[in-house]
Amino acid sequence: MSGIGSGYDLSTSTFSPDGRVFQTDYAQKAVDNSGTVIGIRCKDGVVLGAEKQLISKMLESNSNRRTFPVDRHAGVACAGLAADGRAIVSRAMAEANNYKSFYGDPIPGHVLAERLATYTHLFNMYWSVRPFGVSTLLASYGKEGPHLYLVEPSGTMHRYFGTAVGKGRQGAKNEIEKLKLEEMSCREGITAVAKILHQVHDEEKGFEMELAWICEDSGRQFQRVPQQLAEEAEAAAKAARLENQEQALGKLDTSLAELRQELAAAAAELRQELAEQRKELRQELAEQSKELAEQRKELCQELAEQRKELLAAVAASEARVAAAQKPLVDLVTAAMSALADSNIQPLPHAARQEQEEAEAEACSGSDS
Amino acid sequence: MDGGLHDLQQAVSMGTTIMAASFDGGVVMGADSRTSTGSYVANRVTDKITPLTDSIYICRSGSAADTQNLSRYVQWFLEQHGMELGEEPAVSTAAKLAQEMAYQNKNFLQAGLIVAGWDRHDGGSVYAIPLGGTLVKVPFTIGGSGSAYIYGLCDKLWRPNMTEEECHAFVVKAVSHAMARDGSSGGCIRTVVISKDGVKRSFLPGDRVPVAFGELPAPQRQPQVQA
Amino acid sequence: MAGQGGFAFDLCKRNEFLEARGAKHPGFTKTGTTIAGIIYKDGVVLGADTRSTAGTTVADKNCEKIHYIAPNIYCCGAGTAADTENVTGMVASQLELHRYATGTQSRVVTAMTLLKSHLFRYQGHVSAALVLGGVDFRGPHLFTVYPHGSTDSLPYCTMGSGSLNAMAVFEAGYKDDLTKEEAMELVARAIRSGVFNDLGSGSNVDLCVINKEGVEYKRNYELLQGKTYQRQFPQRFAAGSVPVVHERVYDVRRVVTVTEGEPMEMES
Repeated sequence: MSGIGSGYDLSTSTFSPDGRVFQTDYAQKAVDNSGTVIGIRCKDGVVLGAEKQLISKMLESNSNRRTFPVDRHAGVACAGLAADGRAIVSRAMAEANNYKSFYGDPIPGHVLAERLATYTHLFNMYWSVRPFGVSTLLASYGKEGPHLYLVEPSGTMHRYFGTAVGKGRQGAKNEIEKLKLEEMSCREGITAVAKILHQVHDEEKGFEMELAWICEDSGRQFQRVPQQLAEEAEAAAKAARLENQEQALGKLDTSLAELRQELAAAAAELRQELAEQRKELRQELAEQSKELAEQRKELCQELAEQRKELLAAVAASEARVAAAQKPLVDLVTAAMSALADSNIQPLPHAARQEQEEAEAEACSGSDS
Repeated sequence: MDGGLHDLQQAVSMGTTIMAASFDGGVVMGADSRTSTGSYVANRVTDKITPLTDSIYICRSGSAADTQNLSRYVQWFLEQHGMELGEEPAVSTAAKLAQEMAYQNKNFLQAGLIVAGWDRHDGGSVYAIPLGGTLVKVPFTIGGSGSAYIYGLCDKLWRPNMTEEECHAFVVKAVSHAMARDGSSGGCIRTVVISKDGVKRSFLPGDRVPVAFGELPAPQRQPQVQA
Repeated sequence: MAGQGGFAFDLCKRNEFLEARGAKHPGFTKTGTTIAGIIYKDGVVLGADTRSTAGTTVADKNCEKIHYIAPNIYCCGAGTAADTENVTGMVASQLELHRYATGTQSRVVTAMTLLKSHLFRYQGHVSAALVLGGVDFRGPHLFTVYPHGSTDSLPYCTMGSGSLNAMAVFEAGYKDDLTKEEAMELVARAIRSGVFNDLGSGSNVDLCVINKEGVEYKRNYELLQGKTYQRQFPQRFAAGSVPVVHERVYDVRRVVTVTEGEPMEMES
């Protein structure tokens, strides 16, 4: 509770710091995980359809309902928690009944929708209750014609040409947008709804479909679509799905082949390119090595010449040194012999140093 | 209280003639203007045709207090209802509300009502709500103590698809005959015509009411002299 | 039902039973009355007699029957004095609160609606027969309100046991757009017809003129049956009538000490 941003999802009576009511969001999530429920308003009425996940293989068909009549001229389809849905339905029936007994007229669609929205909204405002995990699609046919409303867990209410809630809502809405609702009759509508439900159902497990409508064909009464029509619609939907799948498979095959071809071509091209490149490189390498060898040869030659020259120069300079040394040796030899002859005493220190320096100078000049 | 004194405890009631009739495109409502307490005329220019909404009116007979207050409740309910509905309430709705109140409180009320008007869905329509609190949709109806005298006349004269003028003439004629025979009805004749084009009220002063067999014509009007 | 206002009628059955056995019940003070009102060119004139009766006895020879409702609205009352006074008082107070809340002048129809709602709720057991008159931004208005909660809107109207007399005068003398003086005279004449010809009405004439400029409440506009006796009690004594027996002066400064100081700091 003390951590930042936690503890705001415990109650609808607390906003989160960024202005959300998490419990309401969670209620919406409960709806988002439910089987898809869609509704469309055609030119002569409204069609509601629900995808019902099979809870058990032993379930009797049509025993878990998603569509409910509320009055002769109105009915709902619920997505989300089925139990919450029934609470909404019983409230809707009470509102419709109450309105009729008070005003003598059937309740208009927008009034019923507003009242349901108000009721739903109440459960978003008190600490002691939780919001309904249900989105309600409401179909009505009154003085103002056929209408389709959607009431959400937050208590919002809107009128739609067509809409979808639950797992497959995004795909279903995309499909609904493609329909020409202004030109479509409810008879065509049920097939369209069935097709969409089958299309957006993407699980291995099968599902049960429930269709309800209110239109001229149903005598402006809300009712489940007659079994025969519903079966026809479902058969058409299944056929369409199969066809779709086959088509998709065919498309996939051709595209795979194309891809393979493309890949092979690309590989061949690449290989060729590679070979060329290799060849070029090899050539280049050979040229370079040849050039290098030449350069080496040249350099070796040059080096040898330089060496020869240098050796010659050394020999020359040695000869010159020897030549330069000769008179000096002669002189020294002469001097030594003279000294030995004359028996001269050694010089005092200063004179001797001078003499040594002179001798050193003479040596350095010749020694190299 | 002393018998000689005017008795205030006696309920103010409208010994009345009221009626409403439909024509091609609308309705005409009519009423006399007499309100009495016992034998005393408490109001000789009463308006017994009360608006419930802009295009729905109610003719009241019986106790003035009961019908006035009942009408106020119906007005209030219809105003609320109109806001929720987002359009003018239907005549059938107004009639149902009046009927429900008349019926639920039948032991405490003395109210004979006629609700009539025009709406977008049903056009002009007339509803009769007699004393017991039943609700009947009718092409035309009459009510109040004076109506007893004109059943035959109205059955004879009313026909479907009248024009507005024909229907108005029919109503004035019927009410004037009732006023001639019924002591509790009298005074002037007020009418209201309601159609898709709106509401037209008219008032026929006592000395302009057509005279019936055996009646003397009203004396010449004195020119009003300012004092 | 504790804590809720209203009337209890559970003793009515018992009283009926006792009455059938010959028991005599105490009577109410009823204002056998003549009240009347008229609309003139710029406003309304209300009128009333001033007799209050209990049975055949005159209970008050100079009572007030024109009650205040709002600065621009007054109301004449006939019937049971207690009922007329209380019902007008209740409506006056409701309207005053309404004016504080809205800051607008009270409307006559509002007063009329409050009155009729209250009277209808009590099904005639609140026996108030009223003539309500006033001027608001829509102009002058005049209503009669009956004890059962019905109302009439008329240019001239009368109520009470003398209403027939007064109405005869109005029917004979009413014209559209009277001047103030003419209207006052006509209303006074109507009330006089009640005072002189109706046993339940008598004494004096009160008038109340209401127009855009304001209200003129003319109490005892005409003294028709003036008092023969001036009441002597309670006696008023002139200052100094009684001698001073004992006198003692206290010096307060000796008892009370005043010290200078700082005001105490308040915790906020």
